[in-house]
Amino acid sequence: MAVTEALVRAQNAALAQIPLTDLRAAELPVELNQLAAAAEAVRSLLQFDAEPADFVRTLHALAVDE
Amino acid sequence: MTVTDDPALLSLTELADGIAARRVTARAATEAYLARIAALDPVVAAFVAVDGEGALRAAEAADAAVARGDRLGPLHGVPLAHKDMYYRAGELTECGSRVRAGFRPDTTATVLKRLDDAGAITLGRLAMVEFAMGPHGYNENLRQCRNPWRLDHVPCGSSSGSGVAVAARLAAGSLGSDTGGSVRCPASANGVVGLLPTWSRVSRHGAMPMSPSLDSVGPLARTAADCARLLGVIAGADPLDTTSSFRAVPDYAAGLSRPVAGVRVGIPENYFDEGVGPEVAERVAAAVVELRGLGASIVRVTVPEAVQLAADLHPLMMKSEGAANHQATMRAAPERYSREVRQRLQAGYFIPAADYVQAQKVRGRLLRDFAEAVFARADVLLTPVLPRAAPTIAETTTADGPSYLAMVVSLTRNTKPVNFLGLPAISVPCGFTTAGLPTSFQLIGRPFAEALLLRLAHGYQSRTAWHRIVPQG
Repeated sequence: MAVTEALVRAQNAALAQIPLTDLRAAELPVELNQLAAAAEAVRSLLQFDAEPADFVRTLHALAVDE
Repeated sequence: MTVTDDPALLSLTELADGIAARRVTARAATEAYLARIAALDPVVAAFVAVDGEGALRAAEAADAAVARGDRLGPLHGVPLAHKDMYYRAGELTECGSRVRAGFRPDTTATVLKRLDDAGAITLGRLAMVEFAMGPHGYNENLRQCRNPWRLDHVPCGSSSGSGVAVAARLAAGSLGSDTGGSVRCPASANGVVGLLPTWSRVSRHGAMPMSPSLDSVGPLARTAADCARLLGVIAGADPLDTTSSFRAVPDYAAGLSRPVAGVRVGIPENYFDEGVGPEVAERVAAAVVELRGLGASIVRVTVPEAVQLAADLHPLMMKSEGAANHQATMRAAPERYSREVRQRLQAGYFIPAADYVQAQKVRGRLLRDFAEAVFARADVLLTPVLPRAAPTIAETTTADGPSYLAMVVSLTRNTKPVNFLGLPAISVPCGFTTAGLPTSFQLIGRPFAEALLLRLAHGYQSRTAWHRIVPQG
């Protein structure tokens, strides 16, 4: 299911409430569908027990002192 | 110290060491920089504000400290200038924006405090892209900041003034910030060294937030040795930024002269070489030859899918966080944003929260995948920074549509996945195109491997002279 102009308009009216021209409401689905695809592409890699601090732990775990 | 009559032509370390050794005074150095600013800044527009009187007062105090025999900091008497997003209590910090015009914070950024404590002098505030949102360096709220090598070209950004001021010898060094390439891109476009530290290596307290999960404070200077000295001052844990790492800060400057022989330099066989222009590819290949001459081992590396995934997730995270920062003003006074920045923010209001959190959750996994594929074979990865030389001003101000978007996206193709993975990287100038515009390579290292990146860059600069060439505009 793709993001559509109608969905952007409805979500903006109900939630975001930012000024949005008709042109931008029509353009935004292209970008939003790219971002949705990026999120979908990593869905299979997600681990239930991984929380955001996993990233910082990994940074430190991979560090090697000179 | 290099023999020169103009202290502004000395590197940051040469100048700092010269002041400490009483070969040059802080006042002479400050006057030299102010004279260059007066002569050149009307053309290149790197500064949004110059504090000449304040800088000269600080210089006189610095010289008095030298005369008294005081213990001197590593930047004693060195004139610097920074991107206009670092807070100093009671002083203007306007972030290249109309939204923050007249803003005077009530706190001072930890990095500025540390530079002050090290003895640095502040010359003024530097131009930047509005709220650091954009890689080309254009900002309709400011005078057109220009590339000092070719005035009809952009300086890239978002730390545009930092790149220009350092390249044009208007400041000895500068702090920029890097969320997707905003230190490395202007460093590359202007032919100076720019360092992205590991995420969390440097405190962000008192720095304008753009996307806190991705933001890093980093130095720009003429040499790797200069950046080593600046990083040594600003790095380290800060109780005012609880995300800052408690990992010990090495003596970056002391490690510069260690040999490079045996270091494994990885050359990517995919992703980072895509879309690279022939002149950039040629200059970067020549840099690889120089590193081999230093004794580095050159190995070919296939980078994992994690790089593309990180590049694709980067805007999701950045736009979500940026939108959150700006929502109140976007609703109340959208006209105070430029059209471009307003449009950059808009997508962030429609990204599902679950997608944002999942991007955060998968970050560690992508970092591990990258490390397993790359750092098993190489100690660092070497890539181009910008795939082509900096575009013209006209390309960034009058163009529109798909080709414009493709140009903007291409500027950060090789830099933004590094931010998402939280890794350190350094941009090192490696020559010029036939049009006279700088090119650079990027070294990407393991987490907290800034010392190795600086050592390699220093070794390269000890065999080359690109960093000594002064732009003639």
